[in-house]
Amino acid sequence: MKGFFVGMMRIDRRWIFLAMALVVAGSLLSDIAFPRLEISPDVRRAYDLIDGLPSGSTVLFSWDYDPGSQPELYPLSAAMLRHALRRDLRIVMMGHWVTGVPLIEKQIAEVVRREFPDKRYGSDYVNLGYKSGQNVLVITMAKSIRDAFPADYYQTPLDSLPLMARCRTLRDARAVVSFSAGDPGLIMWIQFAWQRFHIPVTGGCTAVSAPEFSAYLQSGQLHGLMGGMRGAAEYETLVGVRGSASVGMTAQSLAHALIVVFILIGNVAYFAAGRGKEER
Amino acid sequence: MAVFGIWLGALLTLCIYSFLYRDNPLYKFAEHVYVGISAGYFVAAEVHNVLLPNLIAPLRSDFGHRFYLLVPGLLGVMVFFAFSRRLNWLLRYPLSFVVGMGAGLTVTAMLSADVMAQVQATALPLNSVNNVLLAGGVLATLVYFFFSAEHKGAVGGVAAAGVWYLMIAFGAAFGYTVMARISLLIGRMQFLLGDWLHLLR
Repeated sequence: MKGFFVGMMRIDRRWIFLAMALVVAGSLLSDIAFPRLEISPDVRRAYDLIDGLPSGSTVLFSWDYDPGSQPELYPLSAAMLRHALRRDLRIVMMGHWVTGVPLIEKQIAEVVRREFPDKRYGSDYVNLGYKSGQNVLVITMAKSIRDAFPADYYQTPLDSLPLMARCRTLRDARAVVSFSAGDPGLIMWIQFAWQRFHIPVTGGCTAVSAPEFSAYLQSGQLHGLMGGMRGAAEYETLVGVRGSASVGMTAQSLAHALIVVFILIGNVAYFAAGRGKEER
Repeated sequence: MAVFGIWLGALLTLCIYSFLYRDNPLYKFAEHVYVGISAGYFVAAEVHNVLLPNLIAPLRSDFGHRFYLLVPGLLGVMVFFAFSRRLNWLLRYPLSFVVGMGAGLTVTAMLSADVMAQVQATALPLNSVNNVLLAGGVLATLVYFFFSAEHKGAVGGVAAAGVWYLMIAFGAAFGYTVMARISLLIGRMQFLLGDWLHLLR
């Protein structure tokens, strides 16, 4: 028995990678659906913020991530964008991450044009694209969006877009929604949009960075948060869409269970092989 | 074209994942392609999204009223003197501007959002279990990082409680990190099995 555990201690880690790949692929292929997700208060609060805005209000959506965080943040931004469009909100889109701009375009094609063909570019939504500057950009936008973005992503002057005639500064937005994979992202929006200009800030982040936002949620500086794929799946549940995050939740749960099994095996093997005694 | 993109993405994904078996030329190839394309994309995007609309176009259309834009333009050019041994001292001017302005903006923002607001949110009435745990956790963790008194007796006890709080925080952070990494694997699997192989319903 001891030999078995000693063998487990020396197992080639590539077997673990293979087991993980098989569990994830198997659960996606089998299409098993776990019971309905519980909605956490933080996701509910983000949903309520968007849901409570009067129809026709302007909201700023900031895509502050790149394709590396797409599996977590793309379904999240799609769900929130869908909700805002259903609520008939006007959306100003932008991004602080240069590699995130194609994702805005992808989302316009896959969500806005496909599901909301009656929404008109320029009146219902505008894509400002990317601009460097980070916090300076936000402060400039609070003074005048035109100074920061003389033209939109397609080089159309902002004066020719009806939505931008009503939204001249950041202060004209009723909320800021940031999909954040790091800095610049949600923390910067909290520091400037909320702390300086008192514009409610909400959004989503990668699961890695979710714990650091707890302090901002507790202090009321952040109006709700969706953390990672789980947060995205909860928001998809709230808007009644079974998107890629909801589909991925089964694989996520099974992968977590597998990791727990590995941790248990590792610990049992560690002590059974006598390593604990040696170290003590 | 879309099909070509999907095939290219799938093959590059497999090249990157081949590193899990062992380091190999396919992984190196995909890594170099990624770095090269990212660098090129960054340069092109900055030129088209920032330099042209915010500097070149305003100067060309209304130089009389926008001539002041030459100042940031000149500061930007001075950054390239970093490559000259004789003139690299000129780099100090744009750098001092960036550091000074960045520090000024960031310090005030952090003091306001990360210090004052957080202190205010921690100074809670101790009338619920949550509030007691929160205030107690902050104090215990601060005591753990207070090195001017030896961690013995009462101070040692509070510091030990601080360690427990830190361990719980690290555990939560690690759990979230695992969740994030698995999410990335799921995303790639959905791409490979769905978009590429059309095996997902």
